[in-house]
Amino acid sequence: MKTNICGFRSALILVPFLTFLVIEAKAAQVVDIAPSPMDGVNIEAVETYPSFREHGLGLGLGIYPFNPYYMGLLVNGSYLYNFSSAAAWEIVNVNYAYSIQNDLTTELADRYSVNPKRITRLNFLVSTTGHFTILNGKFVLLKEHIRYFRTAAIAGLGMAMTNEVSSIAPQIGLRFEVRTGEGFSWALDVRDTIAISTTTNYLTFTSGINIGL
Amino acid sequence: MGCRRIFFAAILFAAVCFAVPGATRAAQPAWQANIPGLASEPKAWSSLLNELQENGFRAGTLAAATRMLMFFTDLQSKEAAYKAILALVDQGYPFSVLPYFQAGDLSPSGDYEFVNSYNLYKAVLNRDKGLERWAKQYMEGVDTAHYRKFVFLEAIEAYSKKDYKAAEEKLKSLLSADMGPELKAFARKVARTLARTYFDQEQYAKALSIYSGFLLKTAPIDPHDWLEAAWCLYYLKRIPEALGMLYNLESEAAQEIFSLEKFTLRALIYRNQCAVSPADLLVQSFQKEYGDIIRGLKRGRPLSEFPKLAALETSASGEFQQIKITLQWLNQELPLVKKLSKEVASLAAYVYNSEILMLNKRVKLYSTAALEKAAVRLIMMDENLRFLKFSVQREKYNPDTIFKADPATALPAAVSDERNVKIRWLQHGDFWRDERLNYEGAIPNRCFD
Repeated sequence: MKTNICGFRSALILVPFLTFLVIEAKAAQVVDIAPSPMDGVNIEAVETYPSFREHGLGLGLGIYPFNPYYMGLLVNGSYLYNFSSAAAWEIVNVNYAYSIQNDLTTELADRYSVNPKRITRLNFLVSTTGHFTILNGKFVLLKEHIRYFRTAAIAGLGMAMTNEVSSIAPQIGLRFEVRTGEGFSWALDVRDTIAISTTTNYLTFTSGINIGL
Repeated sequence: MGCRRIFFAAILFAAVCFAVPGATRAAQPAWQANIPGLASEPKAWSSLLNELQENGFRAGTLAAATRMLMFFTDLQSKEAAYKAILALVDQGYPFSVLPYFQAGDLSPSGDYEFVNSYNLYKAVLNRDKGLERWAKQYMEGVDTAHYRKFVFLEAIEAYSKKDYKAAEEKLKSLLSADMGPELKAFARKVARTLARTYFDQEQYAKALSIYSGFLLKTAPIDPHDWLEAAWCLYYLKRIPEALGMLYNLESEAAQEIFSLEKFTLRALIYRNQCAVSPADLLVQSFQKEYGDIIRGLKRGRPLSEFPKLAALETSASGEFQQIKITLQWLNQELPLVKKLSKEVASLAAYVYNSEILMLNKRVKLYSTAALEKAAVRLIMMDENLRFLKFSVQREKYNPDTIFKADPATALPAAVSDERNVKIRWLQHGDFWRDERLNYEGAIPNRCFD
């Protein structure tokens, strides 16, 4: 795996949520790997890093798992504009949440004879955010396929709409995006949206494809 | 007295009885033998040959084919054997198969490819042996106007006579023809010959375009192509890229060949750049790799004690290298013989084991000459490199060097624009497939310091 943090060469750091990928990381987990010069001459591979397309349309699915009463299944759509290789503006990101009740309500009723009268359910998360690339690199998948990726920090403002109230909600997060082909990439987002009025935070995980236009 | 005579006569008689059969046995040729029972059926060999070809066992295929030529006289077996040998060549078998055609007595017909290939090989073989009439007779059976291998032969002959224009014309006509994937090995040979034609005419840019645009982008890569591309870059004064191309030879993929030429080119580059420190490190890395062998040679130790010497490529080691590499392939393929069907498994085991046995004996015929030549080359290289440092330092005072315009050695800018970012990956000894043609080694020109 090779990474470049903000223009400085660095060793790679394997983000924990990437561990489910089967990755051939030859120089992974080690910081400050010594170069292997030839006769004292440092050898570099010079390549043009493939750029992502200017406009990107995203479609995906996600989950909002950390509510005690229900699990939220998310359907996601977004539109992104890449200013440069380092910065982008996600003009709009919309998540529709479909909630699936879990067993807690039933358990409360059966064991403790308690029946919550009102459960606030998430309906929509809408946001507009800036994306700042902090890491770009490439890795080898299954010892065969070379894939370019970038990791971006996300920060912006949005709105969390529940069945009871809508609230302004700042949003922060991280995105891991892998270029799978010309104009196509796969992205995994982890975002925390904090509704100001109810001080509820919605930690969501979404995964989907981005189509470059 | 009579008893004594009878006694001595009996002894004499007994001696004659034992001596005559012994003498008769000694008169029999020691190399005669019978074909083992399991290998006596031609049909079994044909099945074996097909299965070996299907599984891609090239060493086994060649061994089986040559054994069929030795054992059987029927037309079918011979034809199957020669077709298998020619198919191997078409798949890129890197050594000469001409000697196997020595005993060929076929008059093939029908199959255009087989007829032309067989007759061409026989014609070339007879011409090389000075049998011009036989060569002419076989050449009459070749479609000299259209057959691509004949055109290639003419191109090679023109190249060896330094008629580069004629060679270039023929090679280009071959490359412009439609060639399917089955002719990939042939296309590579033609392209490589064209690149060498351009190189000899000092058209280094054209030669480089063939290496970097085709030969180094199609699998399997021949490590020699990296070396030849590096020479082109050196003559084009693209020193960082030349060093980068030579870096490919440090990878595992290039460890099958041990060529000293890479040290020569690196030495030339460092002398060209008056780079004293890299020159010093080059000598040290050469000593680290071959120092023990050189010291051993100077002390008169037997050549056979140095297995690395056997792996060194030299002009005298063609036959020796062929046998060694064939032995390597046979030993690699032998454990995989169990993939074959039960009907041919025991015959395959016989072929492999007997071939390995024979080649292990045969390699000893050539090893002495090859090892001696390799030893001489190694010692000469050592002597030349010893004086490299002084030669590099002297270059700083060479008026032909210091009064020349300083060629650009600085690497281009890292970023071209915001969208197309150039990234420099510092190399840590792992070789990525997509970077092989992008290596650069920045080395400043110290001649003007």
